[in-house]
Amino acid sequence: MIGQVNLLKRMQNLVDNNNFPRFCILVGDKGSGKKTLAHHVHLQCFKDTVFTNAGTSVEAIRQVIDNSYRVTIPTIYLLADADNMSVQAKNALLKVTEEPPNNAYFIMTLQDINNTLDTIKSRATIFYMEQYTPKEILEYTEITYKENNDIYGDLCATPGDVDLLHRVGAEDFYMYVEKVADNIATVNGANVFKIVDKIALKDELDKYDLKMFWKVFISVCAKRDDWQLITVTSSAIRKLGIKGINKQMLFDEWILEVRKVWMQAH
Amino acid sequence: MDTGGEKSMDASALKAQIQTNKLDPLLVFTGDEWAVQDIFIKQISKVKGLETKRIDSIASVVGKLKSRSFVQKNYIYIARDDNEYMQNDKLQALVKESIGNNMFILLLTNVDKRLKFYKTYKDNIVEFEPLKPMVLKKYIQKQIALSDSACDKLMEVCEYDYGRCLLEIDKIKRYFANTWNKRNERERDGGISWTHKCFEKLLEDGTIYTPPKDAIFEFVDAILDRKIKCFDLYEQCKAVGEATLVMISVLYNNAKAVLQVQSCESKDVSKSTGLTGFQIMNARKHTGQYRNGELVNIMKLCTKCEQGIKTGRIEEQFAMEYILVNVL
Repeated sequence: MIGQVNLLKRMQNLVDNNNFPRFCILVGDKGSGKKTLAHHVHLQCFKDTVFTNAGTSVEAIRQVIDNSYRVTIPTIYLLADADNMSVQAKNALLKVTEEPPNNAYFIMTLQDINNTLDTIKSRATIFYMEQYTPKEILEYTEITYKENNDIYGDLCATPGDVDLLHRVGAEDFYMYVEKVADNIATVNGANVFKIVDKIALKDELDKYDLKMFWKVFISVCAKRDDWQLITVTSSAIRKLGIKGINKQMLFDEWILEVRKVWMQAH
Repeated sequence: MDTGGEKSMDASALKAQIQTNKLDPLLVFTGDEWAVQDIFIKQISKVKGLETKRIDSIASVVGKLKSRSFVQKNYIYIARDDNEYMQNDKLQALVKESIGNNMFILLLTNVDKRLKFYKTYKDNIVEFEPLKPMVLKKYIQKQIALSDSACDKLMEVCEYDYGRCLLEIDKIKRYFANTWNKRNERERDGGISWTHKCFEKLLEDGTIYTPPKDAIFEFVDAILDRKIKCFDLYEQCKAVGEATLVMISVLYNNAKAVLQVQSCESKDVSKSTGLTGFQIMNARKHTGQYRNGELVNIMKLCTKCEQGIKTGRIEEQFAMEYILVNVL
């Protein structure tokens, strides 16, 4: 496990003192290593336990609860990516958070702590994933992809970002974003919306991740001291967090704002 | 009695039962063709020599059945969607015991085939599937003298529902009777062409209800053409239950296409914009109605409303009206 030094230390202390919470929530961005951390905790801290990847549907939760009251060996149940868990599933989970079974530990992972019920939050111990340093990112890149390129340290905030960037080709991606930054304001209105053709609006694997695109765009603008465009792009990234947001419309809005800001400046 | 067209498992058996008067005392009718069900009920009533009586629930008459009075009359009791009866085994047993020479017909709007009731009474259930267009046309032409094309139009307007067709035919007949004496001399041809005229008149003035189809595209076209009728079309969209987010999305995509086509300087519009030929053709119909800046404004309004609805800042029911007021 790369990074998360203090968090791991804290968790190890809790295990050593026999005080690890029965129900905890790991909060962090997509690709920040929440599941990896949970596995690491199981292997390094909780030896002789069983690790189970539980689903987040109502049926899966009910089955997990049923099992958890019957297990005799300490078992860690991982409820991964619980942001989209239905209200029924969350309510079903309340029972086990109130009266946790003796041999069960529950680890839930979320991207946003507000994507769960307040009642669940109040019964859980919440751990926030730490920020990765550029050195840790480069270390991850070297170990995973045998690459030693500073561009990853500049552009990536999480191991997930590294995976995304590596998949599309870091150099090509950076060049593409630079090209967009050069032309977005001056290209004809009919053509400008075609930028989105290369952006993954629905998790397409052969296109560029939208959030990553904007992060790289910010990095390019920062080198050019274009702070207004950074503000516009940061606002767009924040809106990505709105549940069910129409990414196409959001991207078009960003294009129009960028062009408007450029026109005003020139 | 010709009811060719229904493909219920028990339809032919039911016909045979009616013809031989060997009917089960409990029958269950399902399906949308309530008018055809009524025909069967009338026929059953005729064959059994019993009057029909509509009741709210079977439980409400069980008491009377148990009392077995000498002066008690037998009826064909008809109940709709009696869930209590369907779920109550004891009530079902009681009805079976005390039914005597009465009959029960249970009309169900929907039947869940997983229920115990369905499995127990499967042989008593008759499903009235929608009539085939050819059969429906025959029925309509038995009721009223309309040409094939007028029949087709009537069936389309009534969404191939025989019950609705009967209602609209009634309107035509009444209008015909009220206006027969007022027709011109040259239209006194036995009534066929006058029937057509009545049908067309009632269709034109909305007396015969025509359900809105694809109102959403007409609505968006009206906005992009700056036509005031968009407000009426908006009401139609609401009436058919179109979601506000869908309307916003369609308006957004169309406005964006018009902007791209309008601002395209290249001869190869498809290559420049990435739009398909169909999208370009549609967009061209609306070019020139709005300036580019106004189209950008429409897009921004749509985006603002979409995000507002999803974050709860804008009430969904007012969002479209907000857009219309700001755009037109």
